[in-house]
Amino acid sequence: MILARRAIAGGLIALALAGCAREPGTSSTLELALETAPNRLDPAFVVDVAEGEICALAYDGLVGFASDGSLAPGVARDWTLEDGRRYVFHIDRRARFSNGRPVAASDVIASFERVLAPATGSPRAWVLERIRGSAAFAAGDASGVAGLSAPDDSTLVIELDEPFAPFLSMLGLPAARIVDTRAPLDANDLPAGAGPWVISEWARGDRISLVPNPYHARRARGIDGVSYRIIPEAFTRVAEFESGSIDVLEIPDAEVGRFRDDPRTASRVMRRPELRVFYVGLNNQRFTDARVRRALNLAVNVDQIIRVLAGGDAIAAHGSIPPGLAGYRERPGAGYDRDEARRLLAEAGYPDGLSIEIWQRESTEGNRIAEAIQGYWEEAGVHATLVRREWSAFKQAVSAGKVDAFLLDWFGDYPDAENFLFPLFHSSNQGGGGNRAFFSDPEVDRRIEAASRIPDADERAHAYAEADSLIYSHFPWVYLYFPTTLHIASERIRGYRLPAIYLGNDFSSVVKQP
Amino acid sequence: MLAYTVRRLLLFIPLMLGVATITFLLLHVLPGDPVLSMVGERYDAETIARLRTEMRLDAPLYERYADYLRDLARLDLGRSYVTGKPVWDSIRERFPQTLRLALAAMAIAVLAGVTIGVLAAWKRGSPFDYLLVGGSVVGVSMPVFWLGVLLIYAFSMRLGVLPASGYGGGRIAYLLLPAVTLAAASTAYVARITRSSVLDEINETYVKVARAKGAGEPRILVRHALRNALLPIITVVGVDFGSYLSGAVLTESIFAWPGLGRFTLDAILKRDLPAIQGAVLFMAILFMLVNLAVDLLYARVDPRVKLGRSS
Amino acid sequence: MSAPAASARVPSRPLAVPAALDFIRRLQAHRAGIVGVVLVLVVVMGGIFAPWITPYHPTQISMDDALLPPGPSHPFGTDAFGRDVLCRVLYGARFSLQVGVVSRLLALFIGTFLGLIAGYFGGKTDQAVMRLADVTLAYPGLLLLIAVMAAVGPSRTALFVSLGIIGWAGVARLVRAQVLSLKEREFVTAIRSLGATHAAIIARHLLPNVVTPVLVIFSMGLGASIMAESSMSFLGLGAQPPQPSWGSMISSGLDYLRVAPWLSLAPGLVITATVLGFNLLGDALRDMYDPRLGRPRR
Repeated sequence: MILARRAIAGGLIALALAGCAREPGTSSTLELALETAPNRLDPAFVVDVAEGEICALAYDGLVGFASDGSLAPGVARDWTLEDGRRYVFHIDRRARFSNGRPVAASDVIASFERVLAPATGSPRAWVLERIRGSAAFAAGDASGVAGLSAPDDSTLVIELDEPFAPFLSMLGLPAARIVDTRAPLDANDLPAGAGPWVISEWARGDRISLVPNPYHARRARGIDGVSYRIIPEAFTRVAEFESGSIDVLEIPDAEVGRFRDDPRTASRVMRRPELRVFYVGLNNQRFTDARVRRALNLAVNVDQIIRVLAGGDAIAAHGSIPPGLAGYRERPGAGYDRDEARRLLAEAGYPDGLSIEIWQRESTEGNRIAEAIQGYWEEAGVHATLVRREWSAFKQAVSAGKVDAFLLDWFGDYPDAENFLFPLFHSSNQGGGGNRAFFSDPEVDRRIEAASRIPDADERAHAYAEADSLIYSHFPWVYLYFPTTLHIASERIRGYRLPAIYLGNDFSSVVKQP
Repeated sequence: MLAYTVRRLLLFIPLMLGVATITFLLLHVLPGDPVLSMVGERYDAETIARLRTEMRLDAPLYERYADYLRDLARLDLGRSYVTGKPVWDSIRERFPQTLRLALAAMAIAVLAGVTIGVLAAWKRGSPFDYLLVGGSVVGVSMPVFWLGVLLIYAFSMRLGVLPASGYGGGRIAYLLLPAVTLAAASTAYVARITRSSVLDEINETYVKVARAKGAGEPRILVRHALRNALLPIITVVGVDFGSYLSGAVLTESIFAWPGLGRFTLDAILKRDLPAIQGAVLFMAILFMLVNLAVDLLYARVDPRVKLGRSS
Repeated sequence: MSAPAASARVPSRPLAVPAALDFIRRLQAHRAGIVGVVLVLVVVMGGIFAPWITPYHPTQISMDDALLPPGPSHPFGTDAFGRDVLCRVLYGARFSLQVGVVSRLLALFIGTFLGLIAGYFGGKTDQAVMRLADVTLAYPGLLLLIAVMAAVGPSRTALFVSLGIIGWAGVARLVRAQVLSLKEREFVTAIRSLGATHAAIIARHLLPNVVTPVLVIFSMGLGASIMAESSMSFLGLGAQPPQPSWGSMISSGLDYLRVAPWLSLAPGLVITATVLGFNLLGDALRDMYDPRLGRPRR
């Protein structure tokens, strides 16, 4: 999923958790900043990155993600896979909810059924719908999910309809996180979780504070709290970091050079390629001529966009699987060739160029990229108009296939190439499923499906890489780049690790010096 | 005065109905689908259809309007689509911050405005006067968002004396920059009104003094002048106070102030219909209440003002 | 709030040239007014003659020249796309002035029309119009504007219409107050007894009498309209890129405040100067022609 807006980690010398005045410098709360206020933190309702990041702190799943993005044990100590579709999980006996109650296999079943039950109204039931019997349960035809069983308190069996290799990774998503369905909701209307942190205060629009879960094995030792402040303007977030009241800042693109090239700050800058790709989706039902799609790629100088607008720290995308995922391949790109673009357009029947609307949603970095693309296309004779809409109006039009082209980015929810190719290019996902370019190719569909059934990880990665090459040769998008995120920590912070995916934070290694 | 107040309050009902209807129609006619803001990037058609039914978005417009009015009559603003919380709870949570900022801005506008106005009148014609008057005219003409940025740049980033943003758990230091930003334009108006009132009074007093050969006590002079300036100041500050309460969207955004304006802006960007409707209605009522208060205050201060003559 | 009673004014339609001479004569005594006129003229001329003043193109990108500091070839520097900031400020004046003037005119037409009708006919018509005005005034206008723009998409037309609709109520109240006092004066009563139609009375005798205060209100509101436009553009809901607009230049410049402060400083100064110009001019017009008018609602 791509996030409406990005979560930003920042940290700050804190105001005390309850909002009472404590002098800066005495607290060891790690203060972070968010660009947009999370709406829901209950795992069943979490849909964006900011929400997911905080949700992952308070709620453990059967599995979770380490900061390098690899799969890590959660409340499940270990697991085995039989026939490619039967998982047996062993619940960690030490796992406890923040109210002290031990996590049992039946809690996992109850949590999953909660997400699947229509009465809950979760928008993320699709995460669990590959479990056998989930559809019958959701339709009310069965009292339980047939594919979920608990032979004893510490053993959980999950059966799928058919083998699906990425399933294990999907169990790390917020919707598959475990909640205590027996205890009442807390003061913030949230269920108790079994994560390393507990959401202690939720002042909407202002801040969210977390304290350690005393029962968690990986609870942080070096800090006594985490606090997220909501600061909408990038300019203000930087000011807060510079004035010393934020510990960790996600550096805005415009300021990357300033922090990275200054010897006083350079050593504290951390960088990590994101599992994310920026692209201009072309309406493949409208631009059916491959020459036109290729020309639109040729007309954009991606390297220059990266250098000037993205702080020089991004990788040009010649495919949709980002570096950092198995399945990424370096491959030669179309390049930047304005004359060739003009020639192709003329050949395709547009000697005088053509007019295209590029839809975009509100986002600072997106706005700049769109403006640059508009400028490049103009030079190649493609007259582009930028159309900016709020998120839901944007989605409504784009998912209905009503637009020529749109600028968007895609975040990996779980570290698997499947999470890029299947939603973005499989013909069954046209529209709301993620394939908003309305790309459709039977061979591509077949390869994506086949890859998800390959048990061997290397073979699977190879199959995805091949499929990605095939897709790239069709130019369903104007491929832009894989961004790199840069964070800077204040001098008082030690052990802050930049997670490879937004669900991979736990801050267990962070120490804040007084 | 009581009868007048009751009549004005009764008049609120049709006005509220008008505001509620406009908001409702506008929001339901504009493109964009609230369900789509709830589901994240990846969703399927069944989820959308199910949510739409649950939210009664597939009912005909007139039925939804009737539902909305029925809920309103029961003083129920509904639940937010995105947070699932009652809208009234969110408003109650955010309003104190907005009120705090508005009161601080009003206090600054009155105190600083009157002080500047009196000083300028006292030193009339001097470079000091020109500086103050000129400064106040420029102050009115500056876009608030730009002023806010300049203040953060100067006081937080360069000088490092004031926090750049946030509510800060209610500490005064956090209130200063946003309040000054918000108050700038009103301060300038109050200063100009005060200055001209004091000048009028000085002129009048000179006439009296010349006639009676008595001494003009400066303090009395200022007090007289201020009484004259009171009505226009109440008007200016009252109208501005009403708009501060409507949430200073820009100021709240720049300073990450968790008030009602920011709340409504977020709701708009997320298509959270109940939240937008509730917040807009609440603001409109506040605005009308403040106007009523201003009119009552008017009659209090100046017995010549007759209430109820014209709206 | 009570509206000031309008004084008697003889219906007259001064010719344009004597009116201009009269304006200049009165202006000479008003120093702040002169400053206002000069500021406004500079901005208007800058907008009109932009293509002759600057050799650059406002929307053509040239990424190799990105973020150049102010210098001889780029007095205000260049932006993140290598475009000349001065050039964009000049072209931005066109957009701001256009939106300001058109939306204000629209507010004026609606407000004058409804104000005339309400004041002249009175009774139920008056009640209906004035209640509608009350609703409009109580409505949080900026939020309304944001909601409309975010959903239908920002466009010049949408800005014209929304800003115009927000501004009509103040004008209507003023016009109505003027008409109420005129209506009872002998000449109107006399004309009516002679059998003139309502339309004729309104058009020939009432309208000319409200022209002066309405013009004063017009110029006083222009600054506010331009400010509203820049606020919307600042929020990304006004001018659409690559169309240059002051508000959007400030907002996109903010990200570069520390590396390229000229990006937001230059347009900010220009907005301030322009609004200042219109405010001074509006105040001067009020002092010169109609000292009883208060300040306009913002």
